[in-house]
Amino acid sequence: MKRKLVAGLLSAIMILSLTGCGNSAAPAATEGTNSTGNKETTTTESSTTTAEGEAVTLNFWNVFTGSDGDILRTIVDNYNQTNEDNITINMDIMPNDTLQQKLPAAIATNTAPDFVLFGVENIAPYVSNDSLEDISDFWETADVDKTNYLDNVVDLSYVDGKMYGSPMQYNVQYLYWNKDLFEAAGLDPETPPTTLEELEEYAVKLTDSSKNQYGLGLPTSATYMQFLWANGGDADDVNTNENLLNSEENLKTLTWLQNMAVNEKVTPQNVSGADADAMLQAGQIAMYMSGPWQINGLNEQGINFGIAPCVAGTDGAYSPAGGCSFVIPKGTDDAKKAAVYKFMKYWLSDAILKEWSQKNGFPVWSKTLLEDTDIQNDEVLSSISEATEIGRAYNLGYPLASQIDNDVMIPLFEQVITGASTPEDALKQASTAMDTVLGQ
Amino acid sequence: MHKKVSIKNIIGILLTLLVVVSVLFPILWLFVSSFKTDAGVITYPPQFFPREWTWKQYQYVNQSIPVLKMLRNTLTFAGLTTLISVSFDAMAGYAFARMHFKGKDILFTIILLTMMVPFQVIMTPLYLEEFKLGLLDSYAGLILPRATSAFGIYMMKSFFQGLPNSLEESGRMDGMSEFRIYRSLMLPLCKPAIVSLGVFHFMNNWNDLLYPLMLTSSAEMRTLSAGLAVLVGNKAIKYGPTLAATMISLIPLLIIYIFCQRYFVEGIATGATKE
Amino acid sequence: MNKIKKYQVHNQKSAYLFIAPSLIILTIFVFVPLLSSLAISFLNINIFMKDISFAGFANFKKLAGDARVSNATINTLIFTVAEVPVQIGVALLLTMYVAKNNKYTKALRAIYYLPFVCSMTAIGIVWSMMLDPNLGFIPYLLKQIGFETISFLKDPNLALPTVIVVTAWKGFGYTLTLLVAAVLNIPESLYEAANMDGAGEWRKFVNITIPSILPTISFCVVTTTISALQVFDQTYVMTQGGPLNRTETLVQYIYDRGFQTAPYDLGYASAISVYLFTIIAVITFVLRKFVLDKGENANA
Repeated sequence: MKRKLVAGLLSAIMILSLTGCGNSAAPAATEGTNSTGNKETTTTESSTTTAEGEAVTLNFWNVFTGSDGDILRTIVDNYNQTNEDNITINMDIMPNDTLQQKLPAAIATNTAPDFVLFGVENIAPYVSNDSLEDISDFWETADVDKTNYLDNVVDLSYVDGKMYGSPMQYNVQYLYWNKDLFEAAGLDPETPPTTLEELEEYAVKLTDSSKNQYGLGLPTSATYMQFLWANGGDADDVNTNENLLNSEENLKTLTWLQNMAVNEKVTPQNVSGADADAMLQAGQIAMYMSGPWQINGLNEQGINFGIAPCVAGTDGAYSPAGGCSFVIPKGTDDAKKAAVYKFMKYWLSDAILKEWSQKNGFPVWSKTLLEDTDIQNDEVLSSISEATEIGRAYNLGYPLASQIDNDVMIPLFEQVITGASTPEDALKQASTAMDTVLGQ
Repeated sequence: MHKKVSIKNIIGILLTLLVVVSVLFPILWLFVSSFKTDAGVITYPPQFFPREWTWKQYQYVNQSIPVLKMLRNTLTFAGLTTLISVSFDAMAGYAFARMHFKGKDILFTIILLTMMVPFQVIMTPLYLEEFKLGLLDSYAGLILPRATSAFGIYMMKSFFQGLPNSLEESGRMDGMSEFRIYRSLMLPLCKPAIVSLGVFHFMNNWNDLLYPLMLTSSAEMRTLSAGLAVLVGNKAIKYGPTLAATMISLIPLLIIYIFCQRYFVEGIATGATKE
Repeated sequence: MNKIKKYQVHNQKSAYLFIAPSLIILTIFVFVPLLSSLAISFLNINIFMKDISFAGFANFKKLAGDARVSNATINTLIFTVAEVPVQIGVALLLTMYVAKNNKYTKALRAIYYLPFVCSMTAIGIVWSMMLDPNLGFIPYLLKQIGFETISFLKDPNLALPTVIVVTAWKGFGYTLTLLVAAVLNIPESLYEAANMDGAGEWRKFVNITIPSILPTISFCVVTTTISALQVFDQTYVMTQGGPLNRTETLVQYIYDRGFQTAPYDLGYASAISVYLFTIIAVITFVLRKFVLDKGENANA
């Protein structure tokens, strides 16, 4: 008896409390109603119905924390004020990790934003899970000339011949060098190294542990495909699912790398990327390979630096390419999609691309913009154009790319650079791990 | 009071002071470093005090994010959550400590079990559930899952267990209802415990990063710690603003702490020596 | 007799009302998601939640053969076994000196509580910067007085101990507050007999104070252990699980599999969660059986 009473009471309270919170929740979505309809109601209060010509509010998530986010926000604010299509973009910036946790669940529940800006390496996993809209009709529908943009940049947003993202920025790794430290070490401050041998030779000369000064920063949380490629090695073949790690070339490169890092101590031991960035900005690292995002920080700290292409080995010089693209999550309705196209088109205009490159130091990839005199006269942008040409895509459009990085390549380089294992052992371990990943 | 200066006392004083230094040093470092320039934060050799004091980092934070709005959001979220959670925790803790009912042990074990679940584990199911209930991106959706906690129940249970039995018996003699006994006799004695649990909840919710980020989708709903996380920077970390942001999130807590401090340091003693 | 029985029935009903709100909330917002996690661990499912299929015990078999799971288990256990005694030991030791009410001890207690007020993220950032071997203040100071440069968080052998110390640094003030409250509650009469015997401070502390506050100590041991087994924030901010996975804990690895590394294998992450949950439940049960019960009896 009593037990039943309690049970009844409990369920009554439960129902009450549930309906209660349902009501108090500001714009509650009715349970069970389907897809696109309830999306506007849950995500923002301000979105209204999106008939032609009426106001459209677009929710936009991105991972641009830090200073480049400030510049992005200015551009978006400006767009909100000036566009004639009555489009308002609600921008929400969040750390990359948070975005990766929320976005898939949001797409699955149709509460995703209308468009997202993230790194191109994310496109393939999302596409293989059917979570992004195919926007292959973009160039035609939005009336944008595809041929005006460099192919290697545009290609980053394609998977199996279909387009899933509209390019936003492109980057490769450069070799930064500190001219003042070069001069102090008796090297020509205007001549960066161009080969692996020179890189090592300079790094040794530039290292002075008594001053906590290092020749070359080699953070352990990174991959160094540029070194493997330079000697003709590679990690895996995307097309055949083949493991390419076990090669003489790779062993030679890794042995060289370990000798430089462990025996010649040209790098601070066990540093993360963020640590190395800070040391570069503090003038404690003379040479460092990183993307364009270093430029603003180095300028702010008043470092006298130069930018060069990554160095060459026996096979040539390469640099891993990356970028960011605007993508549209699955489930965004046509009216909103059309509005997102308008913003994508706006971004691809020379005026905006120019603003972005000049303020951030990212390379230019619009052919008409490359002819622009301001761009040609920009000291930073002209010095990176050469370094940009050797960009090479790494595991492009491959859903396993991030797993290969996290489970195979980063541990491999960490073992080699810290000297935790011999290059032979590290390579053997990595190769086994690679087989596991590829065998899935 | 007469003092004996013995070796033991000296060891005690040295020990306590050593810990004071180890506690204050990093916090002092944070405070002074938030007034350094970008170059000052990452200079070598490192400087403890800024070479030049600047408000620049605070100005940058204030320009980049709506600090006041986020502060209001955080206060609403953490404040309401704390109020509700403390009341529910105290009630349940009281029942487990002072009342007899069937299934008490099993229910308490079950409640303890919920303490063992890392948030990362239930994060995705919780998101889906809140979506089904229409709670995403609302204060209700943020507050309800935190409206009680196993830790709080456990803690209140421990405190209620320490109270003398004579009290509630006298209440029963007077024919008071269980709720009145709890409300008028027992609860007032637990004020210090309640304040310290409240401070605990408030701090946890105030400092929580992942939880509010996961369950809200609009910038309108952002809490302070989640908003400040955006400043840190993805590829290029901005150390100066990060330190200023850390300081900003800390100051309100410190103020609240100073206000409540005397309750749970002094009060607990007076609360239960009425034996 | 009859009256007592009637009272108990009444008491029972109110008792259920007292615990109902908490129970309902915990059921909806913790148990339902937890059961979903359990169900998910038997599925082939990633975070996109498309193409779901039944996996049987496949995720658990994979877990058994995963070297990173055993590595993370060991790290988590080492962390717990070292962190809990350090945090509680330091707090107990200091309790001896500050468990009285005067201006000096009150100020000390307020200061000790400070680190607990700060978020783990803030503390992680501050300590990482201060301990950075190249730019940090502490290694620089140590170098000035003649030590080798120590990279606390970057050296594979020092990283975990450093994380442990920082965690204890943050938490000891909270434990101390609870212990001091308990000590101040001990009736003066208990000490009077000992005073007459001329017992020393230390003997009084061991023979009277500690037994009297045993329930509070047990509470601290159990709750600190449970949160230590779930360690995540500190390693996430300070080490990201490195160097060489030496600080990768179970929650960190769950997070990595589920949310950081494509294909975002939610099924596998949930299987590791179930495994972790079992570990925590067993340890808590054992602790409660042998530590807590003793504590509660001692009080009675």
